[in-house]
Amino acid sequence: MTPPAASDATRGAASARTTWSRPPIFFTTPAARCAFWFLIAAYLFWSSSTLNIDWVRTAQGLPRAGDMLARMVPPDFSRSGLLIRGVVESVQMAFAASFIGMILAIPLGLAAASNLAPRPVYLAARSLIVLSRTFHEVFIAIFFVKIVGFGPLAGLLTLIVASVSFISKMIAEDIENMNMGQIEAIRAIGASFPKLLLYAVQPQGLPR
Amino acid sequence: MLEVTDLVKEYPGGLRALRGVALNVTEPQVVAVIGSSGAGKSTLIRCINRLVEPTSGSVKLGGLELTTLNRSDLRKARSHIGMIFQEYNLVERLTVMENMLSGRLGSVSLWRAFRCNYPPEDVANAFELLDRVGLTGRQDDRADALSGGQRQRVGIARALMQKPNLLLVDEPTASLDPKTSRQIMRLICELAHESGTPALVNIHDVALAQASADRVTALNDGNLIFDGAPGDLTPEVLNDIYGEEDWSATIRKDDDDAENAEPEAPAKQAKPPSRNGTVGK
Repeated sequence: MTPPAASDATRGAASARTTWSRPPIFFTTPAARCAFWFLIAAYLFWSSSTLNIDWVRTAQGLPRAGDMLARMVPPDFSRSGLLIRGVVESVQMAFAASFIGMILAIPLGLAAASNLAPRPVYLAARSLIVLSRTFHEVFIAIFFVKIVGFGPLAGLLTLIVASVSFISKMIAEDIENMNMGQIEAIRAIGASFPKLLLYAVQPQGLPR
Repeated sequence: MLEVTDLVKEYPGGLRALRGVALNVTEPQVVAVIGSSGAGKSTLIRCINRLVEPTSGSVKLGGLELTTLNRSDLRKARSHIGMIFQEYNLVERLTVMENMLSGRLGSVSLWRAFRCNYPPEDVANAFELLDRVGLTGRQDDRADALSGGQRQRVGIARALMQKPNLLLVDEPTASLDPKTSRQIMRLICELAHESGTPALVNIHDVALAQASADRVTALNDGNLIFDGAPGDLTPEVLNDIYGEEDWSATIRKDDDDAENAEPEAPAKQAKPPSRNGTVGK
């Protein structure tokens, strides 16, 4: 028990203070802050100096760009058969790739969830996802064209890789945000891993 | 029935949550475990069904040593150990009935679990328990549509669906209002006695523990420092368990039991009654 006089004194001292600023989060010293902004400026200067923008050629190119846009109007539908076939093929590819990608993404997503998978499996799955997200789709497309040749198959395979990496990351993150209490409860019942997926993971992931 | 010997749990980082706990439950009784937050109550309960892996010591349930079981034998043993949680831990997007039937997961095949096709006797048992816990007709409601007290009733029913030979109960009332707390504790004790199941109940509310348990044990800093009848809890003992405090208002027989089965207001996420000034694990 503090004597009332003392607590009054502390309260008085505390209320005299009227300013407060949030403690720094990233840079705890002014020097670090200065260094950060200096590095940003240096990087911007360096990268813009390597761009080699030729303003004269840019100016010459502008009319050509305008010409190209003008020729788009009105659109030329004389080869509409080819157009429609191409569009339909693209949509087919997108559908098939999303479907196959979704199925392949489920096991990968489960393996990449840190709260379910053992550490080595988790790290392997995460590396795979990071690796496939690192490469641009065009890069992967070139790779598949080299393997299976030009055509819808190369496009399909590319889109599958793209959707697997994207969807599995989403699934993994969703699983990591699960309520672990529900997992614990189903585990305590003595459920095997597949039953755990069925009764605790799936209901929390899929809306219903 | 339950025989815990010299149980030690040391968490990575050196925190010793249990320092050689010995506890025998030889008859079907409700054993309350009291003690301040961080005394090791939750760890003790979780070391029994190995949701937390004990560092050393022995846990025997019906003569079966649990600490050395392999994974599939452990699952088999767990399917006969019911557990009730502070946060209910129902699978919120599943219906009440699915939650209750999930108590049978240890005994049905994966395919039947997937099709939600449980044996008729399990379904009959579930409906019976639903009536018993006072939720008749609520089988198709989603678990997250229920109030706290109702969820805990489903949690109790799920544990009993396992036909358990031990109930582990972790702070069943800490998230409930005082009146619902009493109803829930009474339900747990009644059902444990009816089915002849011993129950280990972690609880913060000393008065409630005294009023409902057959036996009270106390943990302090990982050691079991009290084991006796509810009536033996004197202010001196409580001072040992929790530290110096005025206990005159805490130790008394509760006789406000005139509030039996009353309807509960839906969806009240009541904060724990902070009569002990402690919340959570």
